[in-house]
Amino acid sequence: MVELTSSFKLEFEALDQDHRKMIDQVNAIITEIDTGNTEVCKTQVADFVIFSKQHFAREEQLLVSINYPDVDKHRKHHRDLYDKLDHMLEFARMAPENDIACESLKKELVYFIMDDVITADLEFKDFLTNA
Amino acid sequence: MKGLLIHGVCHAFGDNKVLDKVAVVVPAGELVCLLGPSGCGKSTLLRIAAGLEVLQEGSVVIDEVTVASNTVHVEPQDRRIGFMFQDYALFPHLTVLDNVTFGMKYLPPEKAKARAMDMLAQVGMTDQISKPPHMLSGGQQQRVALARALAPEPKLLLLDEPFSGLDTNMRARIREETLGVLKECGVATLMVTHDPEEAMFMADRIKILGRDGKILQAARPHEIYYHPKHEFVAKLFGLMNRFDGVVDNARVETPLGSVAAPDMAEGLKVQVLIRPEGIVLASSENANGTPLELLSTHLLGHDNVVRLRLASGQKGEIYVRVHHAFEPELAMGIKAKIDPDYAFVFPVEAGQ
Amino acid sequence: MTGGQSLSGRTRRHLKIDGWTLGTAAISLAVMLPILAVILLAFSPGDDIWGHLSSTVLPLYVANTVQLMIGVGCGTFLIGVGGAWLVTMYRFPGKAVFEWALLLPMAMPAYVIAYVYTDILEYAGPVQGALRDLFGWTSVRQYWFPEIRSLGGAISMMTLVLYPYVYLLSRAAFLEQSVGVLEASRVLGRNQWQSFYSVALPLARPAIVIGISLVLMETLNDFGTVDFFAVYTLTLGIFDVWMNMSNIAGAAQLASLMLLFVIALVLVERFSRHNKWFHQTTSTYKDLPGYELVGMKGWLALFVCSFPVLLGFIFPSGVLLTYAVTHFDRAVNAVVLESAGNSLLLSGTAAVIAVLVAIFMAYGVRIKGGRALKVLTRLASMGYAVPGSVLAVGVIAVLASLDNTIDDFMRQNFGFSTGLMFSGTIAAVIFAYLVRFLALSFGTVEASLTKITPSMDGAARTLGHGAFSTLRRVHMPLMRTSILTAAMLVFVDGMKELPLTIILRPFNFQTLATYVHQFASDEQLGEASLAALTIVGTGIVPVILLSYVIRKSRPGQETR
Repeated sequence: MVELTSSFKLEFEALDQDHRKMIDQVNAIITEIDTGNTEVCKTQVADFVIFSKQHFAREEQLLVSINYPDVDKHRKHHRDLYDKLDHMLEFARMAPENDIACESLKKELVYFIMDDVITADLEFKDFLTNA
Repeated sequence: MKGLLIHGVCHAFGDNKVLDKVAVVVPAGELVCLLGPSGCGKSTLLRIAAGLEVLQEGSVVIDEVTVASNTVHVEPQDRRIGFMFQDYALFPHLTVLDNVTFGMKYLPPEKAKARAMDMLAQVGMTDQISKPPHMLSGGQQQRVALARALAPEPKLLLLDEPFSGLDTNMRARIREETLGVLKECGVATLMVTHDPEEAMFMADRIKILGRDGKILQAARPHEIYYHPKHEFVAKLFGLMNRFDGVVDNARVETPLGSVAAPDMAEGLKVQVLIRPEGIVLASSENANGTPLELLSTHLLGHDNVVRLRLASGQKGEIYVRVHHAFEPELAMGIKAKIDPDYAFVFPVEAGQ
Repeated sequence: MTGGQSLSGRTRRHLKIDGWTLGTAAISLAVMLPILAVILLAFSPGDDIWGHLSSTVLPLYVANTVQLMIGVGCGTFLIGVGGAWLVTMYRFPGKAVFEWALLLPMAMPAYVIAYVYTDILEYAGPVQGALRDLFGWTSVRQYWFPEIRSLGGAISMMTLVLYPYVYLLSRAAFLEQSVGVLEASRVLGRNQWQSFYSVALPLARPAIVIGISLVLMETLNDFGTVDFFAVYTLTLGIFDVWMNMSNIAGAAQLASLMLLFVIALVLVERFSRHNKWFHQTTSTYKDLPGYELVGMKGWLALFVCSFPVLLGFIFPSGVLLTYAVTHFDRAVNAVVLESAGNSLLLSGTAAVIAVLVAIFMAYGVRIKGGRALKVLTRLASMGYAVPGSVLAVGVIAVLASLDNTIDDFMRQNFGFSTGLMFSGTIAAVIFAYLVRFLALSFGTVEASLTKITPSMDGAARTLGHGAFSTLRRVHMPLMRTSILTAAMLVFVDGMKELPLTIILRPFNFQTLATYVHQFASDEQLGEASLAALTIVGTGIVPVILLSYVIRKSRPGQETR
């Protein structure tokens, strides 16, 4: 289970709200897996993937509007994550059959949201505060 | 979140920038491996996390407590972390048992000893507790160092190339045992190594640190190996076959066949890197593929290393690993094809 | 104790001046001052007797000094290298004993052995007396007997007690470097002598050169022997000019000339150290092809090895013991006891201070690091090369000017004279000892501190121990032996020291060494015997230590 604790907050309401929602989604998926409701993972993960891509788009727009210098780099970072999202869908599809798929899915979700998304965003936290 | 969070860390020694905006997240119970060539900033990052090196820029948070930032520096002895050094750094004047209890001075002696014996049992060293370190073998010293680091129940464990001092026979076994102990303890672990196989074996997640101090890719081992995002990452695992070409209609032509190059600009100069096991050999005149001329083979046991050349006489060696039985004496003419799972296309940087 | 600084520590890293650097710089300055003073004085106007000196005695001083150095250099080379070769490459009866026994003469100060042999071999002594009785000679014109009190005699005496330096270093070099190479040489058809000459010797050359440089520094330093034998070297010249003519400028000029010799020796020694030769503090025993020397050859080897040990230690100790017993009532008296007390005071104080200073400098290098500190500690360790007589002149000059400055200041501002406060005091002698022996304590302490790796410090920190706790629980236990060793080495060298003490001591102040010098020079070796034995007794201690290390490094007791 993960939590949006203070060290992971960007102190920017719109983005923090998105991140909080994504964390809630991840926690929900983890709960379902732990209680054995692996069937429902497929739709949950699909929703998560859609929301993530929407979040990326919103975030990129925001960064452009405040003239963040490394926008392109961050955009490429988001694109690079698409592979991971696809893989998560595959794992979710296999979750009902396969325990290892469940474990890997949980791990990937946690790392995805905490490291690939939120921690990567922390890079422009200072820029945001000063903008 | 319980565990380690490092972000925005930059570090330079004089003009040499060894870490450039590095971020690492290690949840409790997970093992993250920082992989990179020798001499880059990997060990420095570990030392920054431990507090043995003063943070220049960025922040380090352990179990939601900021231990280092531009206003805070918590001393190493107050961070409750375990550190395993490359040379083990066992105290020569103390026995094995005294070494392991060294970090538990705040516990009453009987409790400390009990905890130490518990850890030593986990690493299988209970019959050596009265020996001084210099009477132990390398593998035994490594185990004692691990027990010593874990005995005080740290919040985070840092491993600095923990297996590099061991000879190859011992390494695989000790690796496995260490991983078992770490999973048993459930402590967040950040490990640093230059050995890709080690990283693949131990890690839940691998972060590749490039020569310029930047994280080039962070993913699970499968993705690092089969979906490298950078030629540096692809080349980490050994010799690659390289063919240069130009993107034409989202594909690239190579002497061994064409490879997909999605999302790449038309007409871009690219290099196609193919893993040795990604070239499939067939020995029959009816098979499809590019004819190759055999130069030599070396059977390693689990693999056969085969060196070939293009039959058309073009220069350059092709390096192939074959996993099944292959006797060149019985081959009626060798044809090669590319397995797309093992072929990666990257732009050619200027000056390559 | 790396890192671990507070926020202010981060900025402190950029400041070059701090406690460590300041302290070490002060120490280096204190060590260099006497040397600089000597050079300055040499060029000062005033009683310029240089012209007088150079036209009369200077050529003699230089010639004798050079001949002495050449003689001792050759002698110690032959015995030191020869002994080391025999003992490492061959097996013969008694070899295990000779390995450490060949070190014994190190315990003997050269002047003591000179007194003993003079006493035995002079005209009025027992040897010539026995010869005369045997052959019926009645006067000196009837036979020829080598004169012990000569340049040749001085060379022999110093060779006998100084060869162990060369022996020790050559032996280590042979053990560590020659194994595989010698076997290769044999396979390629060279016999033993050829292998030694063309392979082992060149490989060991850096070590041998270092050994001989140290020997020559000690030769330059010697006063007791050359004084007793009236061999006029530069050291004796300095004594003569200062003590008898009170001419400090002249003494300084001679001293400066000696410094040239010293600089040459130091350069040779440093250059050799750089020559890829690195001596481990424990030489582990390697399985060398110990060729068995059978029959006559074996006994010959034993005979050859026993000579230096017998002549350099056993025989002289025996003589002294005999005298001590027969002259016991005269050898033990109030003056001897007082001298012993003084020796203990001087050497003991010097040992304690030398170790404390060494610890300070060693930790400075470890904690702060940086080139500046390394250079400063090097400078502070230069004193070992400077001969005692030169150092004495420098110390006198420094303290005299210090005294005069304070005196003038006090007179001008407070109206009274402080006179001589530092010159001619025990403090002056101890200061001189420190300058000369600091290298010894620093080298020992630094070597053992480097064995405490930075990762051990890091390990202690990550295991919850702060700087002070690490010092107490990791550093102190590991440093204890070397601190004691350093103190002992300085103490022993202080006990043996003669030239510095004679020149700088307060009026009517005797140490055991000066006592022996005084009485033996007056041909009263009996009275001096007990004192001499005490000096030899303290000198034995480091030899025992070294021989223990040598014996410990045999297979079966080898540690990882």
